[in-house]
Formats: sequence, C-alpha cells, structure tokens
Amino acid sequence: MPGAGCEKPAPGEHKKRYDMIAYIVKRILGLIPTLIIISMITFIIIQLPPGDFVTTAQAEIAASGGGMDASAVEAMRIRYGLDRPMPVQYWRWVSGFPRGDFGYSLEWSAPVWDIIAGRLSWTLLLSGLALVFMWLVSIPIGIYSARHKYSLGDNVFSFLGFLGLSVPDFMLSLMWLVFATMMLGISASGLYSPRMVDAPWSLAKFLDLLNHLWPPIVIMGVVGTAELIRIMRGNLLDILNQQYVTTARSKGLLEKVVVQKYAVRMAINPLISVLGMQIPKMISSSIIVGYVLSIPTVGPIFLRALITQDMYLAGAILLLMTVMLLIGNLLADIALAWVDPRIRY
Amino acid sequence: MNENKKYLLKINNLKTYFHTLDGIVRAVDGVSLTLKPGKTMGLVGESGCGKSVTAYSILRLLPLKTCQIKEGEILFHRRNGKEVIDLVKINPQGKLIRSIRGKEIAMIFQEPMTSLSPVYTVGNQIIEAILLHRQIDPQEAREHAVQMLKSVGLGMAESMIDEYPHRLSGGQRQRVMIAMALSCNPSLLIADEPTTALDVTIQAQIIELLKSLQKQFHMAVLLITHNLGVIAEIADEIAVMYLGRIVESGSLKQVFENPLHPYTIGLLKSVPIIGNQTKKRLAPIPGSVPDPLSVIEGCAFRLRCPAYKQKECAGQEDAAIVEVEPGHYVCCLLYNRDEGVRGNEN
Amino acid sequence: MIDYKGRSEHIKKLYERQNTLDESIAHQMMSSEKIAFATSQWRMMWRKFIRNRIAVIGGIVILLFYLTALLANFVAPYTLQQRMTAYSFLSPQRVHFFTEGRFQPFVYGLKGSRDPKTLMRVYVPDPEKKIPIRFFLQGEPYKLMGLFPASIHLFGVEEGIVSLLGTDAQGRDMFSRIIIGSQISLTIGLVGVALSLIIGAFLGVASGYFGGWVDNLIQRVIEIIRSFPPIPLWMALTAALPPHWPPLRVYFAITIILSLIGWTWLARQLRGKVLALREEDFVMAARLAGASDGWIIFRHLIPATFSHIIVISTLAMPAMILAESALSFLGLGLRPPLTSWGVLLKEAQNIQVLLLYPWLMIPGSFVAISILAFNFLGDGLRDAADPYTV
Repeated sequence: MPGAGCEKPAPGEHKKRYDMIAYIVKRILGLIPTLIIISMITFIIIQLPPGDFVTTAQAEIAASGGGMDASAVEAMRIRYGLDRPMPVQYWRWVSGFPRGDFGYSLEWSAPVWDIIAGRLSWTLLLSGLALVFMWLVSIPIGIYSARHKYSLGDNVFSFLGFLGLSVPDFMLSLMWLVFATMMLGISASGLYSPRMVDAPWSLAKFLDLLNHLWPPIVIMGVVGTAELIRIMRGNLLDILNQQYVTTARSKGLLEKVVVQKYAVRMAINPLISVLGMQIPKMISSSIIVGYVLSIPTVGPIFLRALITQDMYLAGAILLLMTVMLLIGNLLADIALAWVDPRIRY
Repeated sequence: MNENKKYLLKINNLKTYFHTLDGIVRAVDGVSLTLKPGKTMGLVGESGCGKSVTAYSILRLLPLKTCQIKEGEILFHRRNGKEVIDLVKINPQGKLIRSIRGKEIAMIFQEPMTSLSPVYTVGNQIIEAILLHRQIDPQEAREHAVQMLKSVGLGMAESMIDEYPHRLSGGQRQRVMIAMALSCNPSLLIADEPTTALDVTIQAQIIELLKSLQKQFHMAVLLITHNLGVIAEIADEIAVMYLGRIVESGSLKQVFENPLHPYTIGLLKSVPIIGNQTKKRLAPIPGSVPDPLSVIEGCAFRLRCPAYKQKECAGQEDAAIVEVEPGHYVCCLLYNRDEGVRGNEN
Repeated sequence: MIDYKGRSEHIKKLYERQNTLDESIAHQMMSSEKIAFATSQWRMMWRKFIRNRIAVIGGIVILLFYLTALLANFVAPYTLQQRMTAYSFLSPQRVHFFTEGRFQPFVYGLKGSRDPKTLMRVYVPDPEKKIPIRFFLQGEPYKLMGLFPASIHLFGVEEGIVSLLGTDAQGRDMFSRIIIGSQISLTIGLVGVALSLIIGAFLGVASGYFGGWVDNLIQRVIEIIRSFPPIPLWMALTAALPPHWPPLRVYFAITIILSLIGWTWLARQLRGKVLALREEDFVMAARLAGASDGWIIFRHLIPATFSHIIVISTLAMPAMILAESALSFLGLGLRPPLTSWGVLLKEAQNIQVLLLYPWLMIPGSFVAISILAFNFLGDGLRDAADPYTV
C-alpha cells in the first residue's frame, strides 16, 4: 500500500498505547459494579418461582407415589441452607466466586462448576466460531453487493439474506435434522456419529466432530450474517458517496484501491460494533440450536435447573452467560478503539 | 511550462446530464471555456448552476450509472507537449485518466473536514499520491511530502506528517489538501469552492497561499466559487454561469468594469460596497434558481431579468454568443440586436 | 458595433427600477414548463413506499395474515380441538379444482390402513369417491373473535375430511390449528410491541431530551438489562410463572416478559433520534417563544419522530414473534390449551415423528413468512420515511 512503509510511529503513538491499557483497565474496573448488580438480579430472578428446591423434590416424590413428612422436609431444608433468609443465601453463593466456587447443585450433588465448565466451553466455542463465520462471510458479500448495486448477484444475496433473517434458528435446526437424516442419510445430532462416540481419538474422529460442528455454527451464524451483509452494504454505499473517496479517486488511484483502502476500511469500523451486538444473540442461539441438535451446551441443564429450582446451578449458568456477554462487548469496544484513531479515551 | 500553447484546457459545448427518478437534470447544458497555462480562471455562479459538475466532468469523477456526458469535448494539452487528448472520449476508469489525475490535473474540494480519510495519517495520504505518479523510494517521497507541507505554510511539518486529520483544524486540513494536490506538480489545479467552508480570516490566508503557489509552481487554476470577493483577489479571467450555461466571460477587468449580462450586473450590484450602504439600497436579484428538472425554452434568466419584466425583451429565443470586445463574450438577447435596447421590435 | 457600454448602463438602471418579483407573472411564465410539485411530506413518503414493490407485497401479506387471524374460526374448517382419530397423521391432501370441466373443488375419500412393515398409517385416495368442498358450510360452533357465536365455516366437507396441511397424532387438522394459532402468535407481537413502545418511548424521549442524570440513570438501567442474553433471561422469567395460572393471565404475563427486554431497543432508538432533533433550530425557536418542556416534547419532538416510531415498531415485531415461538418451542411460554405456532412446533420436536410426518414442521414456515413480510415492510417504511435520499 503506497505510503504505508514510511511512517514512523506518530508522535502520540507511545502515549496512545499507554492510554489504551489505561482504558482497558478502566473498563474492567467499571464492570465490577455492573457485575455485582447483575449477580443480585440473577439471584432474585432465580428465586422468583414459588417454593424452592425442596418443594420440587417433594412434588416429584409425591408424583412417584411416595411422601415426605414435615420433619424430613424441614431437615432437608436446613441441610441445603434453604431455611436461611435470602440475603444470607445470596452472600453464601457470591462469596465463593473469587475462589471459583459457584455453589453446589442440589440435584446433581456436585459443585456447580464441575457440571457446567465443559458445557460452557461448548457454548463459548460455538458462539465464537459463529461470530468468525459471520465476519468472514458477510464482508466480501457486502462489498460485492454494494459495488454491484441492484445487479442480479446483489438481489440474490439480498433475498437469501432476508430468508436467513426470517427463518428461526430452531426451525433451521429441525429442517437440517430432517434433511440430513432423510436425504443425506448422515447423522446430524450430537457431537459424534454413533459409531464414533466411544472410539479413541483419531483424525477420523476429529473430522467427524467437525462434520457435526459446522451445521450448528452455520445455522447460528446465518441470522447474523444476513444482518451484517445488509449493514455492510448500506455503510459502504454511504461511504462511497463521501468526499474522501472522491478525493482518493481524484489522485489517480485504481478504483480497486479506492474501494479497499478508503471505503471498506471505513465501513469496517461500525461493523465491529454490530458484531459485538451479535454476541448476546449467539449465546441465546447456542442454547436453542444445541437443544435441537443435541450439542452439549448449557441449554437442557439450564432448563432443568430452572424447573427444579436448583438455584445455584441455574443462577451460575445465567450469571456466567451474562459475564460472557459483557466480556464479549468489552473486547468489541477495545477492537473498535484500536482500529479507529478518532476514538479518544 | 510551454508558453506557446494557446490553451491548456479547452471545453467545447459540454453537456452533462443526470438521469434521476424524476427526470433528466441538465446540469451542464452547453459550456465552453478556455483555460490558459499559468492563468487563473474564476467560474462564478449561484449554487446549483453546474459549476462543480463542470469541474468533475473534466476529471471524469461523476458517477457512471446516473451521469452521462452527452455531448462536447474537453481538449487537454498534455505535459509532454505533443499530445492533445479529448477527456470526454477516454475511459473514465482507465489507465489514461488515472495517469492524468493527480499528476497533471489535480483537484481540491470544498469540505476540508471530510476530504481526508480519518483512519490514515496525513503523511500516508500525501505520500500515496507521490508514489503513485513518481518512481522514487519511500524515504524520498516522505521528504518531498514534508517539503510540500512546509511550502503550504504548515510549520512543524515533520511532526504534522504523522498526525491524523481529525487533530487538525479546517484551515490546516485545507492546506494539507493543497499540499497533496500539488505534490506532483500538476499543470492545472481545479479548486472547487476551496474557501467556502472556512472562516473569513482563514479564507484570506488560503487565497494568498494559492496565489503564491500558482506563481511558484507555474500552474493554471480553475477556481470555482460563488464568492465574488475571492474572484476579485485571485482571478485573471472570469466566466459567469447560470443554469448550466456560461452567460458571460472575459478578463477580470473587462467583466468587472463593464458587466454585460443582466445576471452579471445583478451579481455585482448585490455585493455590498463599504461606505455606500447608508445611501443606496441593497439590490438583490429577485427570485431564485429554478428547479433543475424544469426545461425552459428560450432565455432561462428572463424570469428574474429586469429587462423582461419591464417588457424590453421577449426572451423567447436562444441567444447567440457575441464577442463584444476582444476576449469579452456575452450570451444575451439584449446584445443580439443591432439597434438600441428600447422597443420590442424583435 | 454594439454600444455595449450603453446597454450595460441601461440594464443597471433597469435593476434600480425593479421591485421584488411579482409572483403572478412568474406563475404565468412557468405554466408552459414542467414543474416538480411541492408535495406534502406524507405524500412523498407514500409515493416512495408504493414504488418499493417488495415492501408492498410484505404489507399485503401482513394484512392478509391479520385479517385471517381476526376471522380465524370462520376461515378454519375445523376447531382447535376437533379430533378425527380415523385420520391421524394424514399427509396434506391434494385439492382438485375441476369436476367435469366446471369449477367445483373436491378431495378424494381416503382408505386408511397400516403399513405392516413400518407400522405407519397409510392413506390411499379412493378415485371413486369424490367429496366436494362446500363453501359457507355449517360446522362445529365457535365464537367469532371470542364474542359472537356462529357455526358457519368458510369451507369444509360434509363427509370425510379436507385437510390442506395434514393432521397430527390425534387427527387434528393442522391448517385449522395453524390459522387459529396465528391469533396468539400475531397478537402477542402487537401487544408486546405496544407495551415496549409505551415504556420505551417515554423513557427514551425523556432520556434524550433531558440528558444529565436522567439520561445516565436510564442508560445504566438499559445497559444492565441488555447485559443478559435474552433467551436465558426469558427462560428464567417464564419458569417463574406458576403452572396453575389461567391461560389468559399466562398470555399477558408472557407479553410483559417479552416487553421487559424489548423496550430497551426502542428506547435507545428514540433517544438517538431525540438527541439529534434536540439540537435543531426549531426546538430552540420554540424554547425562545416560551414553550414548556412538555409542549416541546409532545407538540414538536414526538410528531417529528412519528415516522421513525412506525418504522421501529414494525421492525420490532419479528423479534417478538420469534421470541414467543422460541420460548413455546422450548416448552416455556405458552402451554396448551393456548395454541401458537411455537406450541405447534413443540409438538413436532420428536425427530422420529418428524422423519415420518414432516408436514408437522409447517407452522415454522408460517413464522418465517410473517417475519419475512414484516422485515420487507419495515425496510420499505424505513426507506420511505426518508424520502429525500434516493
């Protein structure tokens, strides 16, 4: 790129790097009060259903024909600490966080973290890969659509984009399941094909895993891709009318360079924000898609924990998903500040 | 520069039309202009009269889908002395026009705040222009860029070159634009309302800068503006545009001392004169530029022309261009008659 | 040789004599020319909207959907609970339109049997038996819009069955269930958006207009709400609904829950618009004329944002419909006897069942179509709301 090779760091460049670190630290510190409030809200929400874990356990026992007398119920309550007032229960939960102790699951009789750690990482993995997918697919298509506005390709992509926006992820997952099983005869649910499940780790198993991962990633990414394409196209069209693009052209640059270096580079900035806004949707979507396609994300466990009022488990899952979202937003903001020299902090 | 050329750029009967959803806009409807090497031509007119479109047509910067140069030629004398090419006929995205842009014809624009990309440093954008047209290494290019920044009056050029545009003021950005435009020593600089978006004091500075740079680099300047004061400062020749046509043109002295076309006269009369205001009323030209979509037969100016309103001119025909004194042209029915002005004989 | 100096002087004198433009002369002169009319803003918007054919189609589809939802019980040949167990798991029937050259739609009667190998129900159309489809037929009684008792249905058959989209495990007609289910799916969106709008408009405008601590507080609240991923939050909230609640209460509870997150988007949008408008000269002018804040908000800012409100409301609908469907699909949200498209899809979750009877997924395509139509419509409205750009 002409001009790029002969820049010394700008006079403020070193200061800028220190500023950036200070900015990051400031943001992280600012997250703490937010996290505290969120943990309180989470706790309250989890407590909303009437009764508690013991009530649900009681109901289940009653449903299978047994019964519990009052003293046994009381003993159970005390054992689980459910007889204490709310703020105390809250504090007992929260105080374990710095140690990595997110409480104890009453139903599974195990520390919460052990139960959810693996599943949360699947949620993280799927969401993250879906975001990458969105980024890689939508930018070239968005550029193409803007430069060939109203062409056949543009219209086709627009229409596909609209379709992608409209078909709900659970519907797409169902359709894929039916299609894959009926038409293609392949296994579409779970992480591995039935014959590979217990097999030792090998290249074949890895490929099998990938084969099971790409459908949920694509399904999750489709909605965001459609939105990103439309925004990229719209931004690029606006930017192509901006003065600095005309200036660049008047210098005698190749049209290709004008578009890439001046237009696209500017259009990408808002896209980072939009990508950041996709993070909550991806987390939500991973639950639904994971549910339908039997990928071990936190969805089914969360559902069950909500119903049985296994409060520490449910609370921790909700809280950790929220934390994921907040960290994702922070990363997006940092990326934006890095990329756009106009943002001052 | 080769002084033997009679002209550097000659526009003959240029017609540039826009195709919009509501109809055709005849932004430039038969413009003829001659630019001489080393001289400044001021192109004057109200907003919407087609001056900028004329300028953009020269460098073929207009959007291809909606805009069409319907007729005319733009003859340009290239620097190598032998070639004259018609800019209308060449490929607007081809190699030829790109080798002319920035190198032989450069342009600066009205809005310095948005004319530079905010994500690249000033130096990056200037050096890019230099490296595009010259075979020198990046280090030399950088030194040259620093030199250019100094010559447009920016102190601390070595540090400014690595600044981002948003940290500069409007006046500074305009100077950067000028530095960038002049970096390859073009023979023609097109300045599209370069001072309109600036404060008055900065305006004066920029105008002075342009004047001295013109002498230093020996280039022709096409200055587009609606500000007659700026024209008076810097132009050698002046052309007045109205609704896509040139209504009067000549040397600065000729047009200012003897304005011929009613529009020119109106423009000059509407400039307030210091000291005169207590006695004389400010006399604006009544009305405004008509809708660009409207097609007006005959004289487009008649609706605002005192001669028409006081029934001295019917205004129904197209006027022919008349050379009233050497170099001084006017396109007006009032000058197409040989008899006296009074009466409706025609 | 023309006496140009003389003429020049003469013209100068003409100017000095001239008064301001006589408007009637100008109009007379313009009559022979084409003029672009100065149109009112609403008319310009309508013109631009109509030109966008896709948006118009979206609008028509939405209108059709809502009309059908209004008259759902009439349009549907069967009621929600009508079970025709003789015809369970029937695939969509083919309707033939011409009997012996005349327009008389009919379906074939069916002979049901069980496939010995797959134990699947199989239906074979009997070409001898042509059952005509009658219009405005007396059928099962219902209450139109929940108020007016009636029993006429748009179409139906006197014997046998007419099932355009197949039946489910209990022999209930999917077409009828989808149509009647649309009432809930489509109105939850409306009520949800209306609620979100009331809260969001109030808080968003206040936030944008007053700035300062009001703005800060509201923005913090919005931030905190938006920190939660929506589906998990809704899951947690709907899990809190007592199972014994009557369906209507559940319905309204769900709309409130959906609005709890929904309003934040609307508030943000309006805040942005108000922030921009606040700096406009007309607000300053109103203030200088002595207008109170309330006056400015209600008489100036809200009308100025009106078109924007319509656009963002339309664009917020798909999210609501989607959210309700997703929640019901997961088993939270609405439960039978309340039926929505999401509830219908929940019944289609069993993959074994779906493989054999894929038409049970069709409610999902209705969700998709309505979201598509709303998006087209909303996009078209958004483009039209800014009639000054091309």
